[in-house]
Amino acid sequence: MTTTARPRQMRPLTPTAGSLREISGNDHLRRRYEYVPRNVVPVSDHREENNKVYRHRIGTLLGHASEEGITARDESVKDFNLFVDIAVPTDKAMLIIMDNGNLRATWREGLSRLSLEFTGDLRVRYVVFIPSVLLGASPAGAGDQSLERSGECSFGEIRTQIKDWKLWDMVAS
Amino acid sequence: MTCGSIPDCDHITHYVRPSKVLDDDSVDGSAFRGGALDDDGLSVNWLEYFIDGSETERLYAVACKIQQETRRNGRFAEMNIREVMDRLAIRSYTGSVIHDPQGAKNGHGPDPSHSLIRGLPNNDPEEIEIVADAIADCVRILHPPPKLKARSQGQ
Repeated sequence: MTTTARPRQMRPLTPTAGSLREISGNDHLRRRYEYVPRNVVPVSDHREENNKVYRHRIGTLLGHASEEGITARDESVKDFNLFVDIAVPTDKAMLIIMDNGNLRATWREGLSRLSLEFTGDLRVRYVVFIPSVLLGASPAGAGDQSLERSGECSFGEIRTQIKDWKLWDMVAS
Repeated sequence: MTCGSIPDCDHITHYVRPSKVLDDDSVDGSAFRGGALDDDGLSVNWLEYFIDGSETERLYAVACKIQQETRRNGRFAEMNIREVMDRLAIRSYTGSVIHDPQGAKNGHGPDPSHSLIRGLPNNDPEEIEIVADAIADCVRILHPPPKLKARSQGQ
């Protein structure tokens, strides 16, 4: 007796449910199809809830910005939404708006902190503080100093850095 | 006209605009750079300048005199001078807080408790960002602005 294997149920990943693949050199984000078990909770509900919270917070910040004579940059807001939806899915970002109109998001846990300013073009300026006790094995010559660093990079690069700094649990949901 | 360094055991406060107050009611480091920082240093107010009175009364005195508009959702960030100096020293900066009372200007009255944090980086953008965030970590108390009576011109 022959049996016909049941076709696997395939459905497109929502951005927050799957892993990301980057095109080397261009640093874009790409979705891919992947088998999803039936008992996986759909992430669209969580993302919608996150988006609502962020929308409310950004609305409040835009009000403050208007009173203070700051012109918010649409590109920065769009980049932030893209970042928390796809690059590093998170509902923990604390937001302010800078005098140059860019959104800045901060995550903190104990003495560790990461702040990202969304400058547009899928790029961020970051400031990271990590106490020495959390750095673990440090590169040669680093000694017992904590990490305090600032710089600029792409979404893909900061995502990698967040993992390298072991801050993923602090940042991502 | 500056009047000398302020003792390290004293406290300073810096007005933080609503757009720089984080979701958890703490201060973002960007409050300590940009317009707040110029060649002379970071503008703050010396709380112990007002010798008499409680902490609340001192803050009220600062808020009455500060030469900028304060908003309901803004905050006065209070810091201990020693803690700020120690934090700057970690990044090899020798900072100091100088008493710099201001006369009346721009339609505002004199600000006698005005002071400056000096010794901060102001040329290297990356250092400015790091130091500003480090100063934000020194904020121990965030006070809501006290309710003020309406100021008269030049008061």
